[in-house]
Formats: sequence, C-alpha cells, structure tokens
Amino acid sequence: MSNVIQEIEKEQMKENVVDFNIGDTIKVFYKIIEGKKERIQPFEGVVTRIQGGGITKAFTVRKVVGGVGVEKTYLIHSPKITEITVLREGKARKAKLFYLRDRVGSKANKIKARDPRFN
Amino acid sequence: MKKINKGLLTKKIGMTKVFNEEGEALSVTVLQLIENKIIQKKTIDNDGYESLRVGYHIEKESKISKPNKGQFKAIDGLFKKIKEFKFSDMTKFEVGASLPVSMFEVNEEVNATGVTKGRGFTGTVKRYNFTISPMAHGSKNHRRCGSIGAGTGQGKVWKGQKMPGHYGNVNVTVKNLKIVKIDQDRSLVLVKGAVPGANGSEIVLYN
Repeated sequence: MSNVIQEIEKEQMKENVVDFNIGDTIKVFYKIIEGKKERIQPFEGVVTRIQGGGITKAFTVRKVVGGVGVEKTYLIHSPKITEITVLREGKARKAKLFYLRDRVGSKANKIKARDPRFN
Repeated sequence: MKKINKGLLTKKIGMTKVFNEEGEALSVTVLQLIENKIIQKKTIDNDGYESLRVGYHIEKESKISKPNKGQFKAIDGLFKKIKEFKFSDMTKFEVGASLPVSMFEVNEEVNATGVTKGRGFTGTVKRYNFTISPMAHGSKNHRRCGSIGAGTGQGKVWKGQKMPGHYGNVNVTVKNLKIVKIDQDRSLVLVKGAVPGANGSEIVLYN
C-alpha cells in the first residue's frame, strides 16, 4: 500500500481501540442520528468475525432477538461508535463463528468463556 | 476538445475509506497532482485558438533531445509529457506557473478520464458477462459463447455480434464524481467512488 494512503488512514484511526477477540461478548454503543435528534443505541452480542485491516477493519456482532438472529457489522474506527465494552471473554476455536447461525434454541449464541469461572 | 472550466493532471494513488462529518464511511480514490507547469500560452493572434500547454512528469536533461528542449525555454524544468487544456477563462494563468490543487473545491463535481486496465484477448464471459456452461456432467462447452446467429436463411453473422477479443486499455471517462477532500500540503484530491485505470496511472480531472 502506498505511503500516502497509509498517512490518510492513520489520521482517521482511533488511538485507543478496545482490544477484543472472536467469541467475546461485547456491547457496542453506536450513535444514531434521527432527523436532528441524536441517540446512542447499544447492541450486545458475540463477535463472530473480524475482517480487514487499516481503516477498513470491521467486526460483526451477533445476537438472537425473539428467535431471530441479528448480525451487525461495524467499522472499528467509525466515529459513530462511542464506546465498546467487553462483557465476557469467550473461548473460540475458529476465526469465524458462522456455525452459530445454524444453532437453534436457548444455547444458540453460547460460547465457552475463556475464564472457566463463568461457565 | 471542448472548453472546460477547470482541469488538472493527476496520478491515481489508490483507494481507501474516509469518514465524513456525519461519521459515514465513504469509499474514495486518492489522486495526487503531478507537477503541472504551464509551458506555453496559445493565443488567437498567434495560433488561431486559445489554449494552455501544460508539462508534466519531470524528465532528466540527458533524456530530452535538443529540438524538444526548445519548448521549455520560457520556464525552468524539463518535462516528459505535454497536454493542452482549453479553459474558458484563460486570463488568470501565466507561463511558468503551476496549476494548483486549490483550483477545485470540496463538494464540487468533476469528471475523471483515464485508461482502463488492459486485459488482453479476453473471452465473452469476462468481456460481456456471458453465462458459463456446466463444468462437469459431460458438458463439453465450458466458457464458449454459443450460437452466433441463425442458419442459412439469414446466412450471415450480424454486425456487432459479441465475441471474444481485446478488452480494456481504452480511454474511459467517469462523470460527476464528488470531491470529498483537498489536501494542499501533499497536493491530493480525494474523489468519491472509483476511477478508471491501475494505481499509478494518469487521470485527468476536469469539469
């Protein structure tokens, strides 16, 4: 990649990005603008995918709402993300947790915790 | 060439993402100005029409022949390539000055002309998005174009029938691209969307 592009990307990147991994349960606080009003929408779920690099680095969070799976993809460096909190560290053996999509029932989104005390 | 309001010669650096004020991510192409120096001003009295001759791509002295060197007498610096711009307003330009990036403004719409990537001799699947045939189950037709016309009743192939051939390496203009950002220090123009050509190729921006 060209140096110029790296410089442009560096200007926009956040300095302190919360460190999280695949399988972690996180809460994303995302700014939503409705007309003139601004509100923050939290979204809590399991990180199923981290992809890309540089300014295009993105992650996907999955949760099941009323029996329907919902996945949201965010850009890590997006200024609309005000905060990310890691609620629980998960123990995943795959880089992409797409197998969660095939799961049904109460354990649909369950990932083993990294810390055994949470299991 | 039609008369244009503004024009610049740039080099395509590559694509990236940029966040705007609302926090939305935009895909942009980064274009860098190549030294645009006015080497001559053509006038109606002298040449019969008005235009600016702009030199770009600085060249070593040893690489330019003596007759060619004469063109650059009025300015300092030698250039590999020369392009003519016919601006509608020629008064503000002077010989020896460089065309600035600040010529353009943010949110302005520009056209970008470049040479697309050459793909050589290409089949119809890649060139015209024809459908491919089955790869397996005894199908002997994989990426062929199929029938090219009727039988002896018609007795010919219509003109313009889509067939394999040379693809790419032609001039293409993309119109009405929005300028997202202008960086005067590094002489960059960030344009929303894609622009024809490979990274490092020349792009003419104008409107």
